[in-house]
Amino acid sequence: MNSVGKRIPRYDGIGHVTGRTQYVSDVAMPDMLTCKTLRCPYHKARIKSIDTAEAKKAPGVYALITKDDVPHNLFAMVPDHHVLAEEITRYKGQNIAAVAAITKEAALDALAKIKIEYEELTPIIDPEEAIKDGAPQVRPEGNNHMFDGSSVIRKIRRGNVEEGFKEADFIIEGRYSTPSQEHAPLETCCSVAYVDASGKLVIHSKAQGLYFAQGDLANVFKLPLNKLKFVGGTIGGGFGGMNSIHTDHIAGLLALKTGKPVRFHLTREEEMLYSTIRTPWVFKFKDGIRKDGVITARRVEVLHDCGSYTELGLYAVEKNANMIAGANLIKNLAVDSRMVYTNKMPSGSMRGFGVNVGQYAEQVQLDRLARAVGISPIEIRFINAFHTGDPNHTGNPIAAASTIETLQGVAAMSGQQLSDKYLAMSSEK
Amino acid sequence: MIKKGRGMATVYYPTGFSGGGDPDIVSLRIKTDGTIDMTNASCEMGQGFKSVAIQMAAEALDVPPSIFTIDNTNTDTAAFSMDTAGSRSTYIVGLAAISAAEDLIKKIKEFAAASLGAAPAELKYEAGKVFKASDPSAAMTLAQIGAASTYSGTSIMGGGGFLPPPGPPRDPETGATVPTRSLAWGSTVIDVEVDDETGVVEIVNLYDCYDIGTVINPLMAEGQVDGGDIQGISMGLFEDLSPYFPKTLDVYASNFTDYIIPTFMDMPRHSEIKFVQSHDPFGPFGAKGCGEMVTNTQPPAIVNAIYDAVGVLVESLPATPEKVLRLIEEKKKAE
Repeated sequence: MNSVGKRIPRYDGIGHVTGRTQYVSDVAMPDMLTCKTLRCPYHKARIKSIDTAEAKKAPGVYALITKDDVPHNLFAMVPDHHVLAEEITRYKGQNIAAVAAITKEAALDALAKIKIEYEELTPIIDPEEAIKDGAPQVRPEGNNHMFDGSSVIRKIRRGNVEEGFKEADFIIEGRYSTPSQEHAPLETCCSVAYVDASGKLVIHSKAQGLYFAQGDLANVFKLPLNKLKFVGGTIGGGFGGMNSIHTDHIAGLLALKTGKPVRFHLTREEEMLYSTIRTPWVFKFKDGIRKDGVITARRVEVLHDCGSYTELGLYAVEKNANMIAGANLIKNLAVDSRMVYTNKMPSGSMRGFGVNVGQYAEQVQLDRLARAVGISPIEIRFINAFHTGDPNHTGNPIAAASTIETLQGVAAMSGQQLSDKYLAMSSEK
Repeated sequence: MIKKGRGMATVYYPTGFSGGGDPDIVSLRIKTDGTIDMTNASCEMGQGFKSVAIQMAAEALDVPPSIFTIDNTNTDTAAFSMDTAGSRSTYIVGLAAISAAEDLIKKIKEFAAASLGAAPAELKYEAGKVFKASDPSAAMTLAQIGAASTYSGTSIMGGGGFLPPPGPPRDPETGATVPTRSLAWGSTVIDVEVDDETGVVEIVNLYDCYDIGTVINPLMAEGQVDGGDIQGISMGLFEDLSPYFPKTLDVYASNFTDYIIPTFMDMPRHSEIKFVQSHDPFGPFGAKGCGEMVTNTQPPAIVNAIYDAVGVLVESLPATPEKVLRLIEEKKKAE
């Protein structure tokens, strides 16, 4: 092959390292207005009243919008997230109102003039409390996500775990959890929106998927796709955070309302406090293992804290469930996954997306098993490795497996001696 | 005292959206001088998408990557991309590029047939040239085709797409379905030094051995792995937005003083990358997804290494000095 496999330098690398690349944050237009938003100061609240009359009259203000100004106030992959808050807010920092003004100061001054009366409500933060009956409700449909419309548990079943536990010489349990995590891209989220000469709404966007965002927001703006153009494609880091919309919707609405270019650029603080995150997970493992190192049964309980809106949380649970049992052939397996809503920022996608959190738990648990049996960490991985053609945990055959080859490779790299038995192993049976 | 430890982790990772059904489209257009415009709206966010997409289109057309330009800049002109996520772009855009290249070659042959006095089926395409199989001297280059077609008012645009086959509906009782046909694999060994008086963990050696199928561009892939190592180390040791969760979300990190992400000071002292390249039967040129898996092995390998060093098990990420030290103290009390 002439191109594939070659160490060809980056197509646009010179532009990146010389500062010639134009990111959304660099886009400036004549008469561009600045957007700032009023964010809810409570984890959960009822908005009893909101009076924007004085704020709208503040100097330099071109537009001020609340939920009533949004043509369709729902967005996201699972469109349950409000562009601007409805009566009940669900997380601290949720957008309630947005201003477009001639300067940042004018926008902030106007926001300060909004008269808003809140009733602070009891939030629920801990996912293990949120699943219980009688917990404060995050959303009207209840805190637990109903899989297939009917079950709080999303299941994987292979073989018979109870029989598998009987075959085991050791039963080992473990509980693991992962925290909230920020994507921390170099470029914080930014949109510049304007209406072009043909009347088309153009949005310079940090979206990782321009068409993904376009399809989503066409519904919010109620615009056909020939009246909505997304521009971008080169961004200062995403790591999954830019699969969710943080500024495009509000900037677009204000551009439509004012007819002027509007820039909405999150500060680092806003990005960290109020955008989507990798939300917390809890994993409970119960494994049966024989003296020879073979895992005879595995039961995993997964709890995903989805935050306040679905965003990409449900998708993360699906991906996690399929992968949580790890790169091991496990004949008797039961996975019970749950997803629960809490009053924190919504669960976005983040690199490793639902999988790496589970793999932390699973790989630490695997070492625990190895210690119980008295074999080395690398041995337990060889013994239980998937081979090509084995059924995956979802029942479909695995193509081009290579746990064994990567173990052999990493052993050689790190100077670990392997016995002939493991050196001779192959993923091809 | 500094205690040394070694840990490892083995992972696998699906390529593309879970359950498939996430298409991409590529267009290829010859310009009057024989250079090629490629379009696809995937996002360049540091991973090297543009380079890799061009390399695969160049391979499929058997021409140098240097004759390409790529437009991914907007939804009016760049061909559809479902998203840039799920370790999907190399794989799905690559397959779409192969399909678009086949379409372009077919259209080149149809156009050249009249000029070369042969039926399209009698023509062969190789390395940017179309020629009569029976008489290779009767040939046209891409530049000749680009000029002749454009100035005769003939459109030659190759278009192609790829749809990962949607999996069957998930069985609610067993979870059976087909989330993906292609999987990447990887193992990592990490050596750490743990200071048992401060709880500080340092990464000494890091060895990654990954199978991402055929490596389309080793420079970009190594860049992904280096970045993944840093992000994985960060998840293992540093990142936590709300350390008092689940009791409370306050105090919440809102800046890079309170929220620690790694700097060059936190890089492993020594790291090595090796790719074992199995051939994926479904991927473009045997490639699999790479982007996400490379950030997955480090947290468990670090936690396993800490156990090896000081005999304490960090059951909640990240393994901060405070957490490690508390565990060491608890262990001492118990002994």
